[in-house]
Amino acid sequence: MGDEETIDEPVKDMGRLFQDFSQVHVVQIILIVIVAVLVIRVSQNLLPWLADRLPTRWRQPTLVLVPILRLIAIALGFILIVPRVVDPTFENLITLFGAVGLALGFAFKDYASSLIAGIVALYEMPYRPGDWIEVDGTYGEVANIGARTVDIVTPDDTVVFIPHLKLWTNLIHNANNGGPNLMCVAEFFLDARHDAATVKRILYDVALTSPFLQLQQPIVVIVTEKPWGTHYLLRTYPIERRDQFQFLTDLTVRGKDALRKGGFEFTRAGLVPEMN
Amino acid sequence: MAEFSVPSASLVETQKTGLTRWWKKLRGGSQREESTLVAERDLVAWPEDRLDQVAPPVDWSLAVDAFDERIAQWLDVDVEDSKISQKIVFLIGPPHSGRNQTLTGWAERRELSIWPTPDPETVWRADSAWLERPQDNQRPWVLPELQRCFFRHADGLTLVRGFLDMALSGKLGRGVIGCDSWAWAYLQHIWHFRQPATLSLAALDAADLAVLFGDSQARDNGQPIVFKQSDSGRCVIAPPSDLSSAGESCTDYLKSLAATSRGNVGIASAIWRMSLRRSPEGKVDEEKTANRREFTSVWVRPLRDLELPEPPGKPNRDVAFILHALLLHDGLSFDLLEQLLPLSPSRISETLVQLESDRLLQQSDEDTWRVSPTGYLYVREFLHQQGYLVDSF
Repeated sequence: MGDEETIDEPVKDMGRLFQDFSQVHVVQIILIVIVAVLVIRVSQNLLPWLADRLPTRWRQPTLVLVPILRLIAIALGFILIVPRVVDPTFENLITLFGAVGLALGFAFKDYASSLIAGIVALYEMPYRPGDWIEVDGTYGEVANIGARTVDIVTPDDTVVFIPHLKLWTNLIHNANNGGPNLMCVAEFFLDARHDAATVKRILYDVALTSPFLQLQQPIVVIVTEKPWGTHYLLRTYPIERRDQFQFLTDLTVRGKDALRKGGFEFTRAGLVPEMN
Repeated sequence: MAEFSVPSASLVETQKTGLTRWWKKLRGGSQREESTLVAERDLVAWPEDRLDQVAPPVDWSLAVDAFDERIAQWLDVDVEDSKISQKIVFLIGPPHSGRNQTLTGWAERRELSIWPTPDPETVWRADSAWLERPQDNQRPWVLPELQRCFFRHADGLTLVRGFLDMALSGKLGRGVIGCDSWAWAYLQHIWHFRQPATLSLAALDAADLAVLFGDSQARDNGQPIVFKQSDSGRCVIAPPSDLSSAGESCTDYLKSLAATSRGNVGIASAIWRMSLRRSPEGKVDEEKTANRREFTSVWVRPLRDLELPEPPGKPNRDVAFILHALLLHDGLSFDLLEQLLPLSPSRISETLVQLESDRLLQQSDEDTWRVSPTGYLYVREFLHQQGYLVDSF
């Protein structure tokens, strides 16, 4: 009998962590979960819908609210549910979080790491919805910041789910960093024997006359001499980030046309090393 | 130009109009709300010939008078005495503000030579013959439409650059150059002006509009007109004292109109003509005052009840390209749009037709497409929201 009492003691202690099941307000917990899910779902649908209808400059700040609202909903839900399940004494909470932490540490290390990185991402904001980022060679627009992953849509319309834990070790390249402006670079490769000043002027006008161009941003033409010829970089910004590829196409088509009309010769195929 | 300021509306009207527009935008449609007033529903638009009597087209000679007075001092300075920076004066104005009519009318009044507008071929070829100064060397010249001297194309900027180089270095003598405000905003990126002398037509306020529209009171077959707001019956423009009751005050309609139209006379006039209503079946509201003087009542719909042009949904990028190109050049033909924009001819064609049916565009006799006066307000706001370069007016 004495041994039985000794064995039962920890079980009783563990049992005291939780409130008497009859006292737990099951209905309240269900309601809290439903409200939290509703807030998350509504914010995920309503805010992007609203962002599409608001002026372009308000689109980004509106989209950023989606993950923030989700975090707030989850945190509030957690804070409201825990006292309804666990007797919220200091010792009980330490024991509970210790046990949960241990389980996560061994079984779901990467998962937990991604969740924590997701929270850090909301604070540090290395990427926001609407940003154009590159992670591990994958480039695309941030469509959604989930609890565990960031979802980006690549230019060929493929959704790539990237775990937030990449944030710890990988380089995150953000092309616009939350702002409306994203630089595009059109490249031209010309035979070295030509008047570079004229080409520079032509390319400047090509950019200046593109309907995609954001005129409030600078246009820069960079010229570098290479063993195979002359390399031109035309750096400009489109009005709308999503138009970056059409913008580059427009610059390239009209740039080639203007240079051809000016009698300039392009470097022959095979001479230009492959660009990274 | 820095002194230009857009008139402001009354706070209540701004809130009403703003909330109504946002609600419509959020609903994603352009459904109009029926007026709850019976009298409002019964009123009909004026036939075109009668409309010209009660709201005649703008008389630009008033603008010519004002410009002539403003520039008289500059005109009297001897050409040899004027500094290079003072040799050229720019008159900048938004679309439909009557800038071209004002400058042309002024040049005719002062018998000054008008620099001919280059045809598209001249602009494409950057024909240097066009840069030769017209006629008299001592008298100033007038170029009313600088916006017709360039195209937003890599081959379309040489002529205007050459012209501005010569004009602003003093080689062309003294001249007055008119330029559309949208083209002016774009030209700042093409040619970096060194603080040129610029003038602009001032924005009209409620008092100016009252003078402009009230002047037509004596023109309805000799019978005075009293403009009354259809939802309240109160006067819109103060009638002569013998036609009004003592202490009668007018509505804020003109103040709202001045703010809505951004003080632009052409746009205000177009909205004003659109607002006017009469009783149906040709019945004219002729009334008599206590002293038996007869007058015609013309009903004016409140601005918030007007169906100003607006597309059914949010326009896409192609629409923005076309609208922006039309504003930068103050109108373009279909052929030029095709050369300037990276859009297929069929896409341009169907967009133009759609925008015309939405009343945002209108086509002139010369096959030139322009943003309509009543559509301009929506178009400007839309392009501004989308991040396109807009004018300062």
